Amino acid sequence: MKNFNVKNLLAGALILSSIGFAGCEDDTPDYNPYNNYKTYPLKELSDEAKAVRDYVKADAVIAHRGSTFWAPEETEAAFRWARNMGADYLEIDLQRTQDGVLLALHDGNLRRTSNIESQFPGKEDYPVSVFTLAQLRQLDAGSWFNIDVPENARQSFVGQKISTLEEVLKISEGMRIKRDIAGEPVKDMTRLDSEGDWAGYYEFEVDPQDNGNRPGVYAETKEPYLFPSMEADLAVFLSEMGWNVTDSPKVIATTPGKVDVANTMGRFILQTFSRQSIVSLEKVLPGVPKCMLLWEDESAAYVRPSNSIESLAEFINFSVDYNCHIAGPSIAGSPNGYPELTEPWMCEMYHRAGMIIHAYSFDTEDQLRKYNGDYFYAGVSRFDDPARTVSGDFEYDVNPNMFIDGGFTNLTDLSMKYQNREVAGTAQEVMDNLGY
Amino acid sequence: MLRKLYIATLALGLVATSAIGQEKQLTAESNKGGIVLTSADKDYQVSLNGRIYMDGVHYFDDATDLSSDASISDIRLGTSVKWGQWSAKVNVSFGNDEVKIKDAFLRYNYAKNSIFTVGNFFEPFGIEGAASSKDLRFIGASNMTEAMGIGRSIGLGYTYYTDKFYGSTGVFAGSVDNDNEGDQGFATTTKLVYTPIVTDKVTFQLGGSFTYRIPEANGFNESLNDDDYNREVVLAAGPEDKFLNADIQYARTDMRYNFQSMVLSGPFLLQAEYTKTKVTRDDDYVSRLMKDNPYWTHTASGGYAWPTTPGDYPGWYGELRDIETKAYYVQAGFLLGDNYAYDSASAYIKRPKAGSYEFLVRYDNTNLNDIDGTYFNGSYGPADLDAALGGAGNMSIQGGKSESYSVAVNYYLSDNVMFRLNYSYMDVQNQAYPLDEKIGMLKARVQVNF
Repeated sequence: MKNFNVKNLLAGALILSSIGFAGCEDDTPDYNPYNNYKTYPLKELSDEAKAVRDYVKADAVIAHRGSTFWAPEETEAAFRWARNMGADYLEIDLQRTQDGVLLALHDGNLRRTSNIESQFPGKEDYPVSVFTLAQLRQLDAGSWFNIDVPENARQSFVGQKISTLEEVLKISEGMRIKRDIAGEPVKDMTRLDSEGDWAGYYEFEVDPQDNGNRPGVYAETKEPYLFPSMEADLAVFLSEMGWNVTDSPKVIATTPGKVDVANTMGRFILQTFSRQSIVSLEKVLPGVPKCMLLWEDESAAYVRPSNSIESLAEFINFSVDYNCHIAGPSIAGSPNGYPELTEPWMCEMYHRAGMIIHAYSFDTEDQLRKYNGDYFYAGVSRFDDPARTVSGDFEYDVNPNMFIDGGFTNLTDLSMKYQNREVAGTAQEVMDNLGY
Repeated sequence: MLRKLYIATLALGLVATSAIGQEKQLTAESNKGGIVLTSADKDYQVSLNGRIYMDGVHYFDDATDLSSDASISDIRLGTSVKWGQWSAKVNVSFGNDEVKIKDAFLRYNYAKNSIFTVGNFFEPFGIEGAASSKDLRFIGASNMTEAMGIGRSIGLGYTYYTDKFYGSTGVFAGSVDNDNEGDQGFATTTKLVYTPIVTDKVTFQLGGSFTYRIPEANGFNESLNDDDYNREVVLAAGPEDKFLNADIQYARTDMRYNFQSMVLSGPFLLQAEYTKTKVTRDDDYVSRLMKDNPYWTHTASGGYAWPTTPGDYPGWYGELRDIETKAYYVQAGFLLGDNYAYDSASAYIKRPKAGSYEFLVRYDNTNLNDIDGTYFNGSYGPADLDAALGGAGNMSIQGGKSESYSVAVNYYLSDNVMFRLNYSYMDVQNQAYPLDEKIGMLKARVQVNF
């Protein structure tokens, strides 16, 4: 082989190896959420939307279904307890009866939370939309709780009724359902159906056990295909009740030192997992605070674990487009074992878009401490020391934006205690005082 | 495995040599750096061939980290045997620690320009798609060919050529890579090239290729397709197949059209190809998918289900319509030290002589998107936003699209050794990689073949 060919061969080898060496250089940070959460492009709420966001009470304690722990969920007992316990919001799941009444019920049927097997045998799995309100009033929505949660069972829960939205609003305003001497709800015979029969409404009276708290209401709408145009019905109903803050809201008397959310512009918050419902809500109830609930699953309707940062950004950007002021991510940990969508980097992203965070759902003090960031601050709560400082060496650039602004709780009493807020007694004492 | 195949390959050559060697005396000679053993009457010939690609690649990546590295991307060993009008070739690749059968065929030359081939060999499709990687102008093919080219398949082919005409056709029954996840595919592919001008000064070529294919099965599923297999077509190209990657499921047929043109004039080269693909899909798959579960309703556990009838399912999941993609490239070259020469037997360019430099530029435009829906959160819904937000699906394919600009320098050290240096700049748009826009690639190769 000629000499110049050897030179060329060496030159080629040199180029090759130099490219190989260059390849070893780590020129770009690994693509993962921890390296990208600070810079991933996000939209940001407008100033007008931020003004609506600021209607919402800071550090909100949101009573998930009233209570799932101390009383049968979404009944009068649960909501009265949450109000007197000091919750800022009563959380409900909105559904609609066959005769168009909006009510509070979580499940897609009545099997778990009522005695429907005995009242309407064969219809256990029917959705609530096939029943009229009067039919639903025949159900006992309390006894199941005494069997499922015997440690908190009370005889007075027997015969609790499914709550209408109207009842929830009235409870927030300090009312209760009027009962006769036998303890049966008094039927409102001024409100009849088209046949001239009782339409299923009860009379109200001022709650003698009311302790002055006026919580707001935080209502979840379901997929619109289940209840078409329910968002529009809701808007009309809220206006009628004086609870639509964009349409002459009524003044609700409050007591200094007590919860007064029901008399603020943040008195009613909308929440949903459904993007379709968000679009409808923005159309019919603009200017009312809205929360985009987040769940994790490998499908377009949820945050995809396979590409969590892109997926989260997609949700955030959608939320900004439709003026969702609040992110409602799930939290991990027992007893629910929900997916983790409230990691510090995720919270930083929600906040960067101008949203606040109401995570769900809290059952333990450990969860409260974790998602309020206490473990980055040597276990010190910001409610104990607002000037707390980071203690330790973490992979994060730890800052207050990495934590929640409120949460849905099954134990309002625990959240109140965590925030060092004044309460009227223990959970059981409050329940006792209400006469249950 | 690697060792066994290597030994088997050598053994084939040696057995063939020794078998004939008992009858005929062979003469060893060198032909362009390779060893060729030839009988005195030239009727029998056996040669050993091989190649080594030593590669280095450095990515100037954007958001997604790509793996820059140096590698031995291909080691090829093989044997060719010729007995009069018959010939055979076996060729195995060991690159990147993978063993792959490459050329493995028996060929009958009915006449010098009339050839029958049976075995595993290149399907006649396009210019780059039917050419060996060692003869490509750049390191690797264009994105168009990487995504839509075909490569080798097992089949029976016939090729006929004259100075001005090249025609090749074949029927094929899948690839040697089939992992037995169901029936192999079927294909028929034809390439026709006409070169109206073939002179010492100018060569001008026009041609077209067409392939009709039943894609390979990638798994059994009794709900899909008439023959119970899911068939898929994957079109992928570019760095680590990330930014250009269309995975078309539930495929029924796969058709591809290629148009090619080439002009050679002294040291100048102009070459272009355009390819269009159309994959038809099993449009009734949803009904079949749902046949055992036609009525979903509110469930006992309190969950929700879609209150649809079976007839609603295609609408709900989205119509499995046909998917079309297209791509093209144009490249120009300049040879320093030689002129381009046309080889009518392959309808391609001969290797430039030793000592030549070759300078090239290429523009490639590859679009693997066929979208008619609304994209959000990793998948598609119907074009109607309300329906999309309600959760209905759409069967759009988002494989990404790119424009690539490349430059290359080749140095042909000898008939057996060449150096290649490429730089490509790729402008990518892929919704699965929303932060990646500009990717740079510097590649080098020392290429040895004999």
